[in-house]
Amino acid sequence: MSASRVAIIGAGFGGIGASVKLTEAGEADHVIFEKQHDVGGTWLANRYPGCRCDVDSNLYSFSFALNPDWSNTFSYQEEIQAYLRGVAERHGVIGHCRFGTEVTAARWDDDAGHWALDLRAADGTTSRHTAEVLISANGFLSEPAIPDFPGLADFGGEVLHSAQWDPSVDLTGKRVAVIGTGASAVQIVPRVQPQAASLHVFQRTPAWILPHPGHDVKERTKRLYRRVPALQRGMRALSYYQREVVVLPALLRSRRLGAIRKLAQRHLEAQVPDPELRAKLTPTFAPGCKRLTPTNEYLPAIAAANCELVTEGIDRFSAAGIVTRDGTERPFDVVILATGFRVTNGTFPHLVTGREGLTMREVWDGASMGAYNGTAMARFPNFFMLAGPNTGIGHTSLVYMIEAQITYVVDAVRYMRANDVAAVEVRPDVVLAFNEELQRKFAQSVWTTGGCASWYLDERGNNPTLWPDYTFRFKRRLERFDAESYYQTQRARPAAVALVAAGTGGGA
Amino acid sequence: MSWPDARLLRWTPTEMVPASDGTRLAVEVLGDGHPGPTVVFSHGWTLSSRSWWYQRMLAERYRLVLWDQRGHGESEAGDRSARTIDQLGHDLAAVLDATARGREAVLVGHSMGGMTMMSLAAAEPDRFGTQVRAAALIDTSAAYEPDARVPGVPLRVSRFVQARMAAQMQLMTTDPAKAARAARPGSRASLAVAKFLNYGKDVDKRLVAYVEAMTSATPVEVVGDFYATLSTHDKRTALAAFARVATLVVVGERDRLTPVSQARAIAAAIPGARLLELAGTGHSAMLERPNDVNAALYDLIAGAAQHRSAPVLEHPTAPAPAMAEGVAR
Repeated sequence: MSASRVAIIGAGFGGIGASVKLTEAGEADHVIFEKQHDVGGTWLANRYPGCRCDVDSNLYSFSFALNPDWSNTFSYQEEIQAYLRGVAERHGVIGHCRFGTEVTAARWDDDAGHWALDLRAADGTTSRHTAEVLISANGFLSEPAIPDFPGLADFGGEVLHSAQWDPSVDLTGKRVAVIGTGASAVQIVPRVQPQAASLHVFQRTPAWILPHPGHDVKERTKRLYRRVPALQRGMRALSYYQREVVVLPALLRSRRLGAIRKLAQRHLEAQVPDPELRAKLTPTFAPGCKRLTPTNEYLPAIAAANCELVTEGIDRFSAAGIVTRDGTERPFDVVILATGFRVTNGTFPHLVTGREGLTMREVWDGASMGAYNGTAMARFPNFFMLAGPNTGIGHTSLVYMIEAQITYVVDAVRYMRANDVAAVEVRPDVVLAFNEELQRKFAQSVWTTGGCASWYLDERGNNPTLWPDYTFRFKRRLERFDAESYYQTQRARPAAVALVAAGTGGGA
Repeated sequence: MSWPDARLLRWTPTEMVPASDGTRLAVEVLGDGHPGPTVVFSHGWTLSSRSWWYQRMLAERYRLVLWDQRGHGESEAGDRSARTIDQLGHDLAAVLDATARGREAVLVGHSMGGMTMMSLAAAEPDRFGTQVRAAALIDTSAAYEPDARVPGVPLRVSRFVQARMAAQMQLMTTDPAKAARAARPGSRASLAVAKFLNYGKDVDKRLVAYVEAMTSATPVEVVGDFYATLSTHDKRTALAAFARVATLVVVGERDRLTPVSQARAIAAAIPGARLLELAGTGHSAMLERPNDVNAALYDLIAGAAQHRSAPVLEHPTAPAPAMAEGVAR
């Protein structure tokens, strides 16, 4: 049994950033629970070959910790993880971390006024921790989505998920299948194709592939960034506003998507000479409806002689391989699931229980997935999510959104301390109004009108994933903790004590 | 819903309930057919049951009782010696017995109406947790604090204003006729005072006029008599009874009559009480922020109606009906 004022779940961008800012605000009494052995979150879990961020690193980093040493303008996973490790060390975050510790349940105790967390250590031992404030920074890209193909369990070969990569599996000379064509598939395929004897890519829907602008950063540039940090800050701002002003309006109002389409088609024509294959690789939905994936290596790999694009649809797994709907069986040694994550149906919401005994999942099933400012939920006192519902973005850096939320949450913790508040809980009518406003904004967006079923949408067709507005509006909204949207519980001061206090304090 | 209309300040009571001393209290029952708890609204000093203009719409879902406290609105004034906060508690008990006998009740009180509820809690604590299932205390205080800090007003100034007010109140009790002549209802000065005392930031002048009209309609000697009893009000020990019911405390961040600190003191003294502090709002949250107050009341009543056993995540069918443009913020 242990206790702290604040508990944080997850040591990725969210957890590290929150710890740094809490410490700055004088709230040193906090603990981070991390199920992995190190910091990094999704950038530690995803170790598949070619794993890389598709937002430029000047932007995809903390505003308070720019890194002049990025070796590439779009960094690879190892470097991002090392960056996070470095930030965590420099800011004394590591000392707050309990690694190899998974939170298996969190329950609000209304009488005690705190969260009770059930913990499981790597060796299986369980324990309990209590905290007044709970910050979930476990991210929405952390639970692998494993499709339940019939026969998958009986398949004789290796099965790897992109987020559970086993580097000891040697792919050289193997017959390899990749299932999926999303953001991780387009990065894995070009790395696997040269090694494998044969590669089959199972495609349900093709993705819009854009040219990748990434390149190595010159030593001279790094030196310049180091000497004049404002320069890097300027590059960061430039990237931010380009994405905000050029890309976002197109996605939000489904306008001028033709330009993106043309760019992607020219890219496809240049890289894939075979018109029949090109047809298979051309999406039918509007660009942007699913996440846009930049890469210069994916299409040539698909067009390579040892690669086949399979579009017939998977029927089932056999002991030897995969059977498609047309009855063809293809034998494989290794199957790679590039099937992404459980975003709108993860298990985490089952584990968190609010004031009246309902889990987040039950609350969301009763209404719709959502949270006020992507951060707070009614009936969940002192509970804040980082990268919660409707804070995802398709056009810019999620770190920007996470930092905005951290500002808000730290201000909430500060507000509570300054005003003797024991608990804050967002008002249900505020949550309702917020979500209605958001869903209205999606009406014209490409995610709703683009003609695709993406991981952005839930089974009701609502979009509980993305922020449907300029991200600077999100930041402005969350600059200050708006206490009036919350019910407060004052720290208990029984009437008798108040009487004594008044008796000694009354002067006039 | 529209702006409150001062021409509707006079009304015909559903029934006149005799208080313990025989004074007849005006009661209006709304939404009489609804099952579930009866919501009883007690208004503030110098106002009347018409101050619940925007809360009347709760009758769409609940049975409501609006009553005028003695000397206010359509109620009789009664004997001067009975114009005390303690008597108001007995009056509320009489109203409850006459209109909600055998039924559960939710009590809602604004300012002096909140003190009325505390008096009831002091006199009959056993009603709480049995008949009374929930309580909302809006812009009120558990004890008069002469030196309560008013945000944005230096202590010297607030002391001066209070001294002037006390002097004027004194006049109201000693020479009501003279005080009445000096009052000049509807004048610019009278409106300015009503605005300063009752409202926060950016309030519409129609709301100011409405409250000013209500205040001017209250007999000056009633105003003066109750002022005297307000300054001796101390019901902090009575708050213990509220711990047995779901309690909501609402306060305007810019409340000058019962500042935030007093609401916080109430909330701190009642375990489990929930406090809602409304930004930019003054002493009349129910008129200034009807959407927010009504949503919080729906939340409170719905929870009480289900005995806190089953959770209520949202309003049963819809949020509080939208207000006239400009009122809803």
